[in-house]
Amino acid sequence: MVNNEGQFYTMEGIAAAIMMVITASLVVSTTSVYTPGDTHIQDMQLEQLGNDALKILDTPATAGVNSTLEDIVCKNDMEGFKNEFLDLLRGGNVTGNLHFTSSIFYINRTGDVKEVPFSSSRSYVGNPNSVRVTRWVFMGTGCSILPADYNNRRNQTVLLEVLIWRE
Amino acid sequence: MDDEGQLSVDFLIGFTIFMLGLIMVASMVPGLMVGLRRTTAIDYDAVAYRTGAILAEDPGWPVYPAWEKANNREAVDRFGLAVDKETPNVLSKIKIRKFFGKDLGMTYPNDYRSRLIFGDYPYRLNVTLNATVDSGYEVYSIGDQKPKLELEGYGYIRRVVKIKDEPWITIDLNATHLDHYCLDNTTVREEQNFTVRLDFRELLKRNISPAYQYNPLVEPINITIFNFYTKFNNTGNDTIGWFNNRSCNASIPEQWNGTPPDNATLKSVRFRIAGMLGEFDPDDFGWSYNFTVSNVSYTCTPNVRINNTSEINFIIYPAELGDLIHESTVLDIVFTFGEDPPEPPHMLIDGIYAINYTTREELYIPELRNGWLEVAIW
Repeated sequence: MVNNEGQFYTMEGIAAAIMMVITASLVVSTTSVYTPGDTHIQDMQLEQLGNDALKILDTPATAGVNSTLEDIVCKNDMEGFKNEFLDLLRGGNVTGNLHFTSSIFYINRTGDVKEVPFSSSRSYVGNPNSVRVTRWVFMGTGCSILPADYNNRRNQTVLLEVLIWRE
Repeated sequence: MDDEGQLSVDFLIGFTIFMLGLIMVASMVPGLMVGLRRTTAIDYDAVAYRTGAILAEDPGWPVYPAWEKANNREAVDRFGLAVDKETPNVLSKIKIRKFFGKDLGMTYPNDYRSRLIFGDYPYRLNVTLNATVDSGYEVYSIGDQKPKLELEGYGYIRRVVKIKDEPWITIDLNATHLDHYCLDNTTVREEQNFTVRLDFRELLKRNISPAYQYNPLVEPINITIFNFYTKFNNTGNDTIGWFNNRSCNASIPEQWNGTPPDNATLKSVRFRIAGMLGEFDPDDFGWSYNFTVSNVSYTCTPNVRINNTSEINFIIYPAELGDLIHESTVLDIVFTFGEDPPEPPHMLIDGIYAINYTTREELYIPELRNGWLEVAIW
């Protein structure tokens, strides 16, 4: 297996090198064996919570009136949305580590789909691991969101998109 | 290997077999990690999610007759707190009371496991509902205390919900739009009846979402009548109706000698169901109800004086009426007033007042309240 100077012959050397490479890759790969479903479970819980919060905001308190969400979006009440949405997300506890940012997709006067930032609890910087929830909101002709090119001459259903993350 | 450095075939075959074996073993190593404890925690989260979905989005089983009308656990197959399958995340207050209370005689954990979690694994659970009230929160809870997350771990889900409280009927006799009967000078009636009518076909119409309906099949019949003073003290000569009876131009009956009475006798409260013969007394069926006149309890034949400040309240839960009521029932609650002859009648009231969604001043359906439903499984 070795010559008089203790050196490996060619094939033995190759075999030894391959074994060392395989061992090293095994060691490296086993340390990263981790069930990826963990983060998926937490993401699912957060997404369910966000969808529930939007659904409850969009449920009128009594029959025949607009929902809180419709009124908020119609009046462009960003502070109102932040207070109501955070209250539902955090379960009535005013402090908490859940934050959100939101935007509205609408159709402008030329028929194009545009996006406008709406309300947020904190700036979305650093790309935190977030989930996305959406809700269609009906806006009548009397409603007007901030951009001047929003077509408020007709009824429109806009898409409210909310990104939620934990800090 | 020979002197020229060439490999023999024997060596190549052996080496190949060895490498194949090594590669197979190496590929099995990641599978050794599958049996880690984290797998069971994922299972807990899935069970918690499913349990939360059943409670928040499902109305339970059976639906008809509604499980929340039952008073024993055998009548409940599956728990679910939603008002209706069309109103997920809107919970019924009656179902909440039955689920978290002791009326059904449920025992933890077996009865709750078999009707909520299912399966044979002995999960332990904690279900907590926080609901907003005027001055804070009300909290309902069932099950064990949650273990510390860092010691044992548990599956968890939180759902945001709305809560629908029980409606009630309030009749202010001072209101001008209510029906009336006008007693003329020549009519002497021994009994005068004021009837509150519940037509279930109107109340259960599907054009109104179940989240905003009054469902007398499961929600209590709760009637309050007040402001009897309206015309007791009326000393006018030409308007002596029970309500603001502008079309009643009779003068004060002679038998009152010019002074209308300021009280009357409430003789009885009876029920009448369309299709059944005559009126009947709830006491004849042994039904449980709560009937008060100015906060004093009576039976359904109180024979009590009603005066300016009296307030009548009658509450009965649909479970008492059992199979007598269904989706097409027309139920009358008849309040009978009258004096013993030869005493002339004191009460100038008669008529049937139908409760429906256009009479919103009388039928009060509370606003939906926010709530948070938390489920923990371990």
